[in-house]
Amino acid sequence: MRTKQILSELRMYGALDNGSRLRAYLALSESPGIGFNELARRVGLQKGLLAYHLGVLKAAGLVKVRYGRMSKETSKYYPTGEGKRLLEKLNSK
Amino acid sequence: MSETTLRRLRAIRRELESRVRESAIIVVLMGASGQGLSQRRRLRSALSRRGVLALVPEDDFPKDIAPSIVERAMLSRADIDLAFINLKSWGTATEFGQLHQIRRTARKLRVLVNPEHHPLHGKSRSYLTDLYLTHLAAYGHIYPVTTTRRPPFPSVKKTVMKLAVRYAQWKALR
Repeated sequence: MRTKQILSELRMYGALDNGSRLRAYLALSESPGIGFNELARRVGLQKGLLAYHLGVLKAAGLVKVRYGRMSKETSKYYPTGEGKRLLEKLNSK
Repeated sequence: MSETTLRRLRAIRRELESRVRESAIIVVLMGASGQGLSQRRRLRSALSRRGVLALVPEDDFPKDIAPSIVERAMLSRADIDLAFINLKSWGTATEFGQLHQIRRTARKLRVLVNPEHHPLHGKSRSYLTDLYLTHLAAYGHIYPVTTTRRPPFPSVKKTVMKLAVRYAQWKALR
């Protein structure tokens, strides 16, 4: 693997290397399109901290966000192709 | 399942880190809106190409939650390594004043200021410069930066890139 590729992979593994963040990622992988409030309830995290963890996952390219068409912003979360690939790799070892 | 997954993940992470001799780090880029936000976005891209995970709060955090609540959680309880704050506006200066008071947060701050307001390089005698001096004495990490590409002070990009990459290398060797 070239250095650039290693750094890219490292960024993603680094993003997942946190118990709470991994739990959040696994939960949204099991339920693509899950809303923010439901995700907070399912993983048992305070909303401020969950928002941070989701930001990290998004910045790492593991998660994508869509906003619902309601008067209040409601975010929904989906694993990206890269995120799915990484999880499959982890589960296959 | 997540415990086993976490163990496997950490083993892979350690192996990758040993190959590049750098640790995966998370930094947040804080600052003013407008041109400041555009600059932070460009910086995020540059850091990302270099393997550093960089957050821009306005873009990366869900809009469901008030930014101040996310920020408080991020800086007091989360696993960010460094928080770069570029002090250009009164808003960010006020924010710095609040962040400086939380010890756990203050240690992670890397503060970028105009040389005129730097407590050692500049001549300003403002309250803010005095606060920077206190922060510098207690924690270090107040950096004079320029936007004009005139020496002797480096640009924001050069400062952030050098510090972030070196931190990632240092963390890998600890």
